[in-house]
Amino acid sequence: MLWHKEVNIPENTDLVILPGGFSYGDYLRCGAIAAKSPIMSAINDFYLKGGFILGICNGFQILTETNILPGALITNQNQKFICKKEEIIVQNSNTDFTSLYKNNQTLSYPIAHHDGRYFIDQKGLSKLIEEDRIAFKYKNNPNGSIDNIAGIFSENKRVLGLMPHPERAIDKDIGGTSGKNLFKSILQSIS
Amino acid sequence: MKEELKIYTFKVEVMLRTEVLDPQGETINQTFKNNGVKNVLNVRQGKIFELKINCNNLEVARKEVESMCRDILANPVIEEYKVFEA
Repeated sequence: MLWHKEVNIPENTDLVILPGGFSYGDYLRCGAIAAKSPIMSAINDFYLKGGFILGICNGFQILTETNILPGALITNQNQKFICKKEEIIVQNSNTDFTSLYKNNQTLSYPIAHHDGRYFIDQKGLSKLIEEDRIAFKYKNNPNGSIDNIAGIFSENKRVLGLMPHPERAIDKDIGGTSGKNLFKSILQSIS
Repeated sequence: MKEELKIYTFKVEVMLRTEVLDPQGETINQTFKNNGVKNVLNVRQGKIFELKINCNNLEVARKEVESMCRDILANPVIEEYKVFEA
């Protein structure tokens, strides 16, 4: 576990996970203050060296605020905090994070956010589509995201940011097991 | 001779870009309509920041504020900003 005030990532790190939650009260914009915290320059270096990064929920917001991932996450269209399971459709299973899924497979991931509406300009959206960088789309777009986008990859596909919570879908008794294969996929890639 | 430091006050206005839907502004506009207020075409909600800068030169202070806008106060993906001397 690394804290925001640390400045280094251990040498042999394979994967950095920026978890969900809230950071610095999410003042100014979600993830904006966290994006300026001391650890983030080490995370940016790790990204530039081709390290694997997974940003979930607030972690995704932080990755967009640091420009590691393009676009921004803004207040849900209905102005409400939404906390429920959502159907998520796999868009690209040919990556280290999604290799154990199939294209167009429907998953059930919980979402829990107030600022999850993904926005990017038309040029940026076309680039994401052309480069096959949309990871997941919502079936029923709960927050008004552009093109139903729930998660995207970096250019090298070694960074994944998504608003839904795969880590809350790894046990059949609490939330289901849809998220398990995301972690299995990435573990398989790094081992 | 060392120049004397002054305190300059700036106001920064940050608004969502016009192409980004502003549901808060729309809700406020709907409330106007529900209350019989006519002639309001559109409402957009934004943020205002007040910054006090300790500096010896107005232009340098302004540049510093502009740089803070680009770096932190506004996210150019979704927002635009204006700087005013207060």
